[in-house]
Amino acid sequence: MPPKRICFDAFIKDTLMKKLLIPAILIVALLAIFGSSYNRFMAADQNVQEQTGQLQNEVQRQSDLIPNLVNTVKGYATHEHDTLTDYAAARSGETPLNRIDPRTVDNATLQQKILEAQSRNAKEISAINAVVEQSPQLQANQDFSRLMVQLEGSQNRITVARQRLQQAILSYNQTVMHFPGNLVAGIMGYHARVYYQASPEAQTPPVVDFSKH
Amino acid sequence: MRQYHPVSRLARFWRQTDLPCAGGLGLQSDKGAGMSARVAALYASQPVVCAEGRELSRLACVIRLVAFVCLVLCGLGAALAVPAAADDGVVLRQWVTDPQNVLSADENAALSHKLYQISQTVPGNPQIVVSLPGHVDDISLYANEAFHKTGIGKKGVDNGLLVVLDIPDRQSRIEVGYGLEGALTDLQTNEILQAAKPALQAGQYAQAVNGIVDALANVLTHADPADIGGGTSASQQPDSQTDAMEALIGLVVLGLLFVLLPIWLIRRSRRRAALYPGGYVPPEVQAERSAKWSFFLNLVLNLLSIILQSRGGGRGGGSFGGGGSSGGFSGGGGDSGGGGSQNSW
Repeated sequence: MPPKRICFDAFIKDTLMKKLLIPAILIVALLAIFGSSYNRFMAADQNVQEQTGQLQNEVQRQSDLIPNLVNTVKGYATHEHDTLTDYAAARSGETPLNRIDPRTVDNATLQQKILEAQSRNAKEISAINAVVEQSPQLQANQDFSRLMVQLEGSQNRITVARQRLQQAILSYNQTVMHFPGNLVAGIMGYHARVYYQASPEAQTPPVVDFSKH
Repeated sequence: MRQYHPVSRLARFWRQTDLPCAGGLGLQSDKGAGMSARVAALYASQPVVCAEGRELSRLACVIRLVAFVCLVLCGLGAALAVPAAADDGVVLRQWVTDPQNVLSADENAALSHKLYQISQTVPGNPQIVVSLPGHVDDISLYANEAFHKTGIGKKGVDNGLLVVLDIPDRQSRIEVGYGLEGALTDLQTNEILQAAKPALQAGQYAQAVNGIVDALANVLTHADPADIGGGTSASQQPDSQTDAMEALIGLVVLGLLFVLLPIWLIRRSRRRAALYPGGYVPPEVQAERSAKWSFFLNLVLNLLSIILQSRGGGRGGGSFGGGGSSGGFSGGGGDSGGGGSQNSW
């Protein structure tokens, strides 16, 4: 009996009939797509959560600063006094942002809370700005200028955190919506996210004029 | 009963393919993608080989097909692992970036040397970088972008500082890396900038920058080691691309190990049993088999080298401080979250 020899085409046909190799390769390929996609989704999702947490902390940091600032400014305030007091009263009854556990609320709700806190901070900052404009002597107050430096740093950190959150959401969405990840993202429960939209007034920068120091 | 050709065509084929030997592991300069493309092209030629009338054992075909699929997957992974170079003009490449030549060459060299010395001697090896970019629209935005993209400070420790002077707009900023925020508060950085104001107003920029750098180094030298990342080690965060790559390779290896390897082993033992019913294996056949094994070792090592190369080429680790005496600057992957403060004069 001559030795059995086969060619490539014959081999393919042969194996197909046996249903051995092709399913094996398919399974490996599918597993590879699932596995790598899942890891990428996880990483992108973690990144978004981390950046949301960062923004949450920075906004809270600002919220913590404002009452001190209000106390310093109060003495100088004439017209804005009541407004500032009202804000302070409203603030005292609310749950601080950093008490919210990100695991207990969904991301959209958390973002909404951050946004609300940021908008309220912004309103208070504009009230403080109004006082500063009325009372130039405030600028010479050491405590006030120290607090303003911190407030400015906090505002800058919020800007950076917001940018990074947007980038994280963008890259998450790209991961989830692009081929081949989009084939399996829905099955694994990863859906596209909405971007964090801060209202324009939530970005009011504090007025600090250091030329007078 | 099935019979196979006693002379292994497989071994002959492998010798003809002229794969680079395992010894070339450290010497190959090709990038992973190029390398795997080359090897893949080799395997992709198989129908032509068949058309020429060369016949292959079933085993050789199986292995070649699997190897081909494997290499294509590795190649894909390698291509994914190479990120696009991000450089839009804000990446700083020197200790002192001074395109407007505000500082004289001597002042620049002296300051660069000082910054290098600080990065070597101050506890925690912080990197302080100076940029005098001329006019920028938003100094805080510029500082954060330059910091982030340059990666000042060690990755994970984030112990970098960036001093920016926008001389046309009379603005200054100190950007503080995450890891130094405890040691250098916004207030402290503002006080340092405040102290440099007279020199800046007088137009003595070299003196001002040196004053700022000295003050920063002084704060860091006397800071609590826990605040400057001296006591803690960098937390190793898995890179997302490395992660995806690992999953892919892991699954391919698993698939090969648990699906194809048993099939192959069973077939091989059956074939061998059929070849030599008596149990005696002639020495020349044994030699042939060991040649086969040496080939497989070769193949595995080559695949390994492709994977290692593609992973190594994926992301620059960011060497720290350059090579010894040269004192060149290169970012280590540190980051800042917008800490620090700015001032105007």
